[in-house]
Amino acid sequence: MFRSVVAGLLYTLTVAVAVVVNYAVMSFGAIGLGVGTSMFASIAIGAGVNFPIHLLDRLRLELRTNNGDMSKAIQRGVTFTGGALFFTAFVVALGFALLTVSEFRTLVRFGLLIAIAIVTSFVVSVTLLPAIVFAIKPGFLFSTEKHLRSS
Amino acid sequence: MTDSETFDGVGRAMRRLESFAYRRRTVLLVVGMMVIAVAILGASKLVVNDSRLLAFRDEHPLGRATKEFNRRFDGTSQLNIMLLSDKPGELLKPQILKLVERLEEFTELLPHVGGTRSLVGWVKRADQKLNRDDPAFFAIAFCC
Repeated sequence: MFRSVVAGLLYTLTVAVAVVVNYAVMSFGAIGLGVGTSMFASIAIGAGVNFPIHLLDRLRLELRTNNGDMSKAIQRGVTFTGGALFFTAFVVALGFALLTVSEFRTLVRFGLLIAIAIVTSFVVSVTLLPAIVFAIKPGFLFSTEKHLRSS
Repeated sequence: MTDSETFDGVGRAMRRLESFAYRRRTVLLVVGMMVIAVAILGASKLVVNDSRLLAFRDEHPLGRATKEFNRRFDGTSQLNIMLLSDKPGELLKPQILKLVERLEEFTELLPHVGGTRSLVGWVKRADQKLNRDDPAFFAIAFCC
């Protein structure tokens, strides 16, 4: 959406961390990769990618209104968007966590893994992602709307 | 942030989280990389297992039945080992049957193996029946 490879990589990194953490949870929790548990990754990517998109879009807006001050943009971006992201993550994760009361163990694991992936995506989005953004200061965040349209 | 902006509980928590993450961003990056490294290590040890019978909780009737079958019988999950030969009838030779018998004996020593079944069992049983059901004949006939 920012017409930037770096933006795409940042989104990918966020959801990739969530998926890899989930695979590690499966490995340490002796949960085998089967038909049910292999499906969680695609859903986790779809549900988890919203958080970095929202956050980076807000950061771009805050950078514009705060004359490119990255620390202020991150401060305001995480504080304001973070609240909305928290409720989104909470509701979606809780919805999937309801599957844990199922009699069918495959559904229990499926729900649990997606809930963990969503929470991980949220945590990475409001902690690790701003730290990475602050470190690399990607150019697409400083692009104006006009520049994005013309590129 | 201006003083006029007020926050609810979540907003205040996010502000504190952001403040902490901003102050400790270098530590956060290092810890994040370490978590990712451990996660990749753990993910590399993921096992592919798609047992449908284990899909039910232990207290579910199917789960209880599975547990009981595993306890009383050879087990509910099978692993088939197929032996092939280029020559027709080769696998029925007593020497080969003896090798199969030894393979069964070895397999039964493995953990999580409840029992084994093969043609050898039928041959030995048939031999016993053909000899007045004498247990001494529960063996591969004409074998080495």
